[in-house]
Amino acid sequence: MKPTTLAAVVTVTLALGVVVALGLAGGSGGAALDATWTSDTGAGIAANHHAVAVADGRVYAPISGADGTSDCALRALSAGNGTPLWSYGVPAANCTVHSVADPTVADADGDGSREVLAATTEREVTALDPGSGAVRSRFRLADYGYTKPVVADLSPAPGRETVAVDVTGTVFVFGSNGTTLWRAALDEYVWAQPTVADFDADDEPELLVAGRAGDAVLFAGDGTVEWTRTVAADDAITWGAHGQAADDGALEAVLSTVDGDVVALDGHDGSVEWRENVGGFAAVHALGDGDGDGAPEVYAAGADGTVRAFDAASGATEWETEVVAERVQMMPPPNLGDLDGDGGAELLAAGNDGSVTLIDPATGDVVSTYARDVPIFTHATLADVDGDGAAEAFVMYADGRVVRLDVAPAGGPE
Amino acid sequence: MRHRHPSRLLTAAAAVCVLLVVAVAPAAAHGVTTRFDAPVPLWAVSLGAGLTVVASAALVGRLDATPHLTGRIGVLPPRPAAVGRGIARIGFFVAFVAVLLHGLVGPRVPTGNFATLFTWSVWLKGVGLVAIVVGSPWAVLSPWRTAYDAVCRLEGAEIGARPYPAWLGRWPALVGFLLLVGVAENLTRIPQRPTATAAVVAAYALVLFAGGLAFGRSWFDHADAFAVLYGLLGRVAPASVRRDDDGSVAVVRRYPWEGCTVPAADGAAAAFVVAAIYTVTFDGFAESPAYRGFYADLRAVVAGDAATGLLLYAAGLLGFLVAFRGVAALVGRIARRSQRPPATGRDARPESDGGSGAPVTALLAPTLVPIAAGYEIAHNAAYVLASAGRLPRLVGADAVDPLWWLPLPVFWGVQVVCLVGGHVVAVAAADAVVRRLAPTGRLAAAAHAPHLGLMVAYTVVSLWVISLPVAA
Repeated sequence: MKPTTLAAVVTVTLALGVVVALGLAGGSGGAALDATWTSDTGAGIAANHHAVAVADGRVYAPISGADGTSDCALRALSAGNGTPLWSYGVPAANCTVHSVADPTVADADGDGSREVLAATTEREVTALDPGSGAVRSRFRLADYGYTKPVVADLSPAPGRETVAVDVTGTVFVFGSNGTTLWRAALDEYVWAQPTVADFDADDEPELLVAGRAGDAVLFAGDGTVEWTRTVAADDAITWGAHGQAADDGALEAVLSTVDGDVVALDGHDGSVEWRENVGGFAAVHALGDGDGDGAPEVYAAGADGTVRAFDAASGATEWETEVVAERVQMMPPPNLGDLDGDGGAELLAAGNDGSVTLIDPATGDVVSTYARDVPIFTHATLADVDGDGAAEAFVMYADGRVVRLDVAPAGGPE
Repeated sequence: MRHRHPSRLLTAAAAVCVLLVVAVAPAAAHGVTTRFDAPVPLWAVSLGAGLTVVASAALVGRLDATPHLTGRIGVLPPRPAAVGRGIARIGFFVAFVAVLLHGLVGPRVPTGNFATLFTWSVWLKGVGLVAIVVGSPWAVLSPWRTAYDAVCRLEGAEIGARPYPAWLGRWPALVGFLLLVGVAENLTRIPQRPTATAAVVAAYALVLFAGGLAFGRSWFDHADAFAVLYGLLGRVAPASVRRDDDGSVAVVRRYPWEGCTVPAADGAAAAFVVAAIYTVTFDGFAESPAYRGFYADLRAVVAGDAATGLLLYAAGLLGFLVAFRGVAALVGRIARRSQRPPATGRDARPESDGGSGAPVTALLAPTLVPIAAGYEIAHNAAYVLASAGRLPRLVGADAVDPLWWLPLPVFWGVQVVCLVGGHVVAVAAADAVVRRLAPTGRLAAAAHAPHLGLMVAYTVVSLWVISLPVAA
């Protein structure tokens, strides 16, 4: 072989080899999203759509299964390695695709220790001992629960209350001793997470509930209605977030709808501050200053597989990034949190195609992705369980398996 | 002797296809948009399509000979032909380099990176669609062949340390296809990862380039999965492009089944056809809730998502290969039941060779290529056009939707036409093959029956797959 030919062959071979090496190493760097463990909690259906709770080194996974099976349970797992710790089973007669809703961990009875609370198809909120799974108390509902109970000091009564809204829109406020302090009926299904916060800046917390008919209602702590707004007529409100967007004292509630609206409401009177449409199945869960410019953003996903950052005050689009190219049924809302421990926030977008994408919230650039070939229907839960200053992400997949994702330092494999 | 016009076959098949198209429309259920839904039951659509295939076989069987068509459509003079080849070769090589570079340093959004946007759709699927229309252009486009030709030009002679081992056949290409398309494209997230895509393309290029240096140009014909895949798909092209000795390029017309009556080169090429059909079917099936159900059931007993997907893919492939092998054995047994044709009688077929010497699998496999081609168009044409329409965004321009004008019912109908049309063409090709295999008309018809049954079954399966919703 001639020297020039040999040189050309070596050049081509080296160039291709370098691309292979760099490609395997993850390209141009950037933090990488890696699975630390995948739980052994698979159920016989591919429709699990409730997020986990994480506290005290444990992950509480609401697992639903096929109708009439024994697959439905609230399962506690070690946050460190995903090993099962205990399981509270929902009776087979109550086992459906909605058996256990998003759990929460809080001291509901004021005894100084926390409980795990979750609404189930047994038409109750069940409070369990987080260490053993033993039932501590039960709060009766009018129907099965679809959303996470909220433990907060809402009513004028002493101590904190447990607020639960069942799927048909009946609001229950239970005192710390388990008595029902008040209840109200919204007369429409409720899929969006109810929220307790001081929305109108009167130094008293309120309860915001939004329903499937497009209405939002703000209840005062004693159950009186402060305002009611039709946010999106004949449209279902499915997700929400809240925070200070306009620097006007009152908080903003941002709600999203099946028809694709993202609507910011003034917490003072429920008036619409801005409205944007993302095409369909809009999903919001994060409102915060992701880019560190002093002005918070609302991060929304849509069924077109695109994540968008809206200026929380005006609704102006700051960026949009398509993270899922496949056609998908819906998209869960993104989370905002410090996933790499650098003191700044990252955006984590779970995709209905099974992908989880780490995004730079300042630019919308994709930093890293992880995926299983299983759909995701709900947002991740972020919590720093290993005390390294960086939150870990816990993702509920449709098959009932939970994946813990850690962000590896920049320069690691993709 | 009555001479029946072959256009009757095409007219009858087209009529049934049109009826099927008219009978479909999109719908949604439970607020979830399904990919396609038919206002008539799926079983009715499948029954109609299956009957179309059977009727086509009956019509073809009544013809005195499988219709044949030849003739030049036009000729491109040597110089313009050479310029065209040069532009295509350089252009594709530039795209190949862009895949490697942009894959490494470009954005990590799959739809914002040239590597992911181009490699898996415009390149892998798009070139296949071109091959179906005008024959394989891969000998011109192949970037590793371009690199090899460049170093040969520097050397002043063809480089190749030793002859390509005959025993290897096209097995390296089959392995490459299974790894690249079956596994990497279907079972991994590589198509969504620009850096991984660049790495896979570079690794494949490295293997092909090195193989060329070791075995010369025949390596590219035998071991390149793209070359074998596009070569097979090009068999159905109704307008074949051929290069004459003087360098001019002639465009020749033919019936789409004519190229499918030539036996496969070896067992690997026959298996390649089955693998191609299976893989494109699996690709569609894997997006459905039905697949999710299988996946969940298997995942419950198999450790690991990757192992679960691989097992499902491998099991299906094995099933397809066994089914084809079984049908081929049955066809061979029936066709060769009598090696001596009757001396007289209306069943006598003077043209029968009682078998060409090639294995029945090698004879029958190419007759399945039209099915693969039909499914490639039905499953991938929209994907390729949509991806190509996104390419302008990479340079700051607006994306283009090439299918903005196409209503969903029409799109579904086109898919049905492609699938059923592919099977009808396959029936014609199979008829030509069994005529050569069997000594009598009756034996040919009998030998065709198992193969026809396989085709009808696959017609139903493929229609079911394209009718599945994308998600539960």
